[in-house]
Amino acid sequence: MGKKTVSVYMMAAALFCCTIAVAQENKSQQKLPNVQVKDLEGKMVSVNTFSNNGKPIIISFWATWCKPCISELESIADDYDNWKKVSGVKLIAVSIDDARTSAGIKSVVSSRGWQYEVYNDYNKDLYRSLGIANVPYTVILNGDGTVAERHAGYNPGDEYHLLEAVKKLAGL
Amino acid sequence: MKKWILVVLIATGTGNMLSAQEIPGKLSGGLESNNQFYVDDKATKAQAPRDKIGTNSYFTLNYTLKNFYAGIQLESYLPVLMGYPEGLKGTKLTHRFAGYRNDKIDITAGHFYEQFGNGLIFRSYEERQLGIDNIMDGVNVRFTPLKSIRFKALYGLQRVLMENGDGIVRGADLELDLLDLLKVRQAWGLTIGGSVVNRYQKYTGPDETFPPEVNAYSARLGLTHAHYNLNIEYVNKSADPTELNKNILKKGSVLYINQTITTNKNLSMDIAFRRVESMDFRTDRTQKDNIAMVNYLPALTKLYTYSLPNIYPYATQTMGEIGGKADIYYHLKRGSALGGHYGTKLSLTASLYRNLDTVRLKSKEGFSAAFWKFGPTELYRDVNVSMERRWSPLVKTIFSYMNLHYNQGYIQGPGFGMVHADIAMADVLLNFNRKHALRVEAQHMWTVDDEKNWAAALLEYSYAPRWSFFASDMFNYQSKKIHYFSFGGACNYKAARVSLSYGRQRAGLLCVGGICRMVPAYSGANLSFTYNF
Repeated sequence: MGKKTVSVYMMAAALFCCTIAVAQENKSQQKLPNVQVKDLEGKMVSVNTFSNNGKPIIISFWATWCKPCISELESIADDYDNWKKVSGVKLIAVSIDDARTSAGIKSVVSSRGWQYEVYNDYNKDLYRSLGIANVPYTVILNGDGTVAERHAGYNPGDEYHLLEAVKKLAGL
Repeated sequence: MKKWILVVLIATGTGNMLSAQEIPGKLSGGLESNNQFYVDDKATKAQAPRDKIGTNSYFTLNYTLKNFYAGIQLESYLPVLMGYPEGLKGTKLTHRFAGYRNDKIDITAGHFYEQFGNGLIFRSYEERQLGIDNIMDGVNVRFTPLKSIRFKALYGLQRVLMENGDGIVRGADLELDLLDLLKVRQAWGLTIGGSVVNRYQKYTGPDETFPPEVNAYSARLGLTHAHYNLNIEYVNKSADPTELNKNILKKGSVLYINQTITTNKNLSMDIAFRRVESMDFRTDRTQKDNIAMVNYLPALTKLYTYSLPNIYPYATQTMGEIGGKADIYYHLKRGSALGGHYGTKLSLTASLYRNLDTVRLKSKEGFSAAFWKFGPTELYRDVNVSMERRWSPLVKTIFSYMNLHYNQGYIQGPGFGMVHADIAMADVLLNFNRKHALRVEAQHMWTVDDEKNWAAALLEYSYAPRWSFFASDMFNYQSKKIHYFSFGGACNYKAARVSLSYGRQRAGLLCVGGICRMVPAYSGANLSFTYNF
């Protein structure tokens, strides 16, 4: 690697460290930006209107073509009634499907019988403003709508950790 | 200059860190870095480049303060990974934007992504895995005076590789929810919309009749109901002679019709039809592949997540194709006799594409095509059935079968023929307990064409929530007898993910979300890192 490469890496690393520091200090005040997503009827909805009466919200970023995303939402669906009962949590599934596959969101959700609130972030405005690079990606909001936890990727069993995190936030 | 920008960035970063408690507003962003170390591989004839390391990195930072927002993206290709456009090079601040947003208006100055309708006329978007980023640099306005009236207008230059391109783009889009607007209370929703896009690129050649500008118009209609959605869009584009279309003066069009039907009885379906004619629309008439595209024409076929069906992916034929896709889903309910304790999901997908029925013309138009007629050549056809079922807390399975007709000569270029194949896939997930899980995939493809039969297998072991490991192989055991193996692991910790793998990449079409690029064969190790905040 040339000198230039090394210096660029160093700068990138420095930049990265700074932003991690900022992010950590800044965490306490992070709420969702006021961008808009589409509901399944095609109506625009501002994400800062997402609410669950002071209880935690899980936002799960997914896509109809993303297998681990569907696995995650399926395994939560198996136990969702119980989740709601024990923690009062609400899951909002935000799909990043674009024009190619967005027509399939409604049929996937309906055929799988998911009880989630579902939106389409068709221009990836929310996805991008949260700095997300890949799906599946989960964000937990605490009762006042601030971001409490983020989790990239999905391994089978992650749902139990998610429920634990939610219970902790709900003070259970 | 570049260094200077970085110094400023770091300075502001440090400044923020020091005064994070005082500064109002929110910061978010992420870092993604993909690094490849190449080795020579005799079996696949893959040759490592002189610089054995390639790196693509992206760093984004977004800032919001009440209604104000701003952001940057820094990209670096040192050098770019194999298979990406070679024009991606160096390190550069590729995005910088600032804007103001409230319930009625959203104005962005600088870089922005936008889409009109279904994107058939205009879409700027980023797909890092394909090296696509046709973000606009200019001004974008979204105006929503009432909830049922949405207006967008924009102008700017498009990013082409590391610079702004020559072509100027101006566009506007209007969408109305008619029934809401007329205050008719209905179970149905009716939306109409239309867009206009103009592209101007200077022409310096000798032809005095050459059109330097392209105008495109679209009209669309949407009907929505709890159990039914209809989405129709028609786009018309003026002639744009390029080397790709052999400099013909041919107007272009797309017709897209999509219907979604859902029922309370666990049956739902999507049916799509699309006809494309001469719709290669770019800001720069000299570009090809996925560079400088104005519109978005992804292949409308099922997106397969298994490796063998992806050996033969369909790619949209922008010069002419006609066809469609149907997806049907059926859910056998939990606790029913056939559905079992956990329920069973069935799906059937079929798609068919043919070329247009064309007649060659001697005039500058080049050809004419019958509108409602399928052409004589089959381009792609697939039928897929799959069944997903959990048997017990321990075992979940997906079985899938596919029949495929793939016109490889038409899609990938001369030298290939037609491929007829059958593929069977089995996917078994074993959840040993709340932490340990093992996923096993086995696939087989039967064909007498191209590289003949293939077999593939994958093992994926995960230890929630942090670790996962995989090993996979794809083997064309009747022809070249090459093992395309790969193995590696990943670690997720909160918002961070690191993955390391080693293996062989097969030369061919790589498709993400229906947009494809050709990749060369390469072998080596890959290290990827993502972090978001």
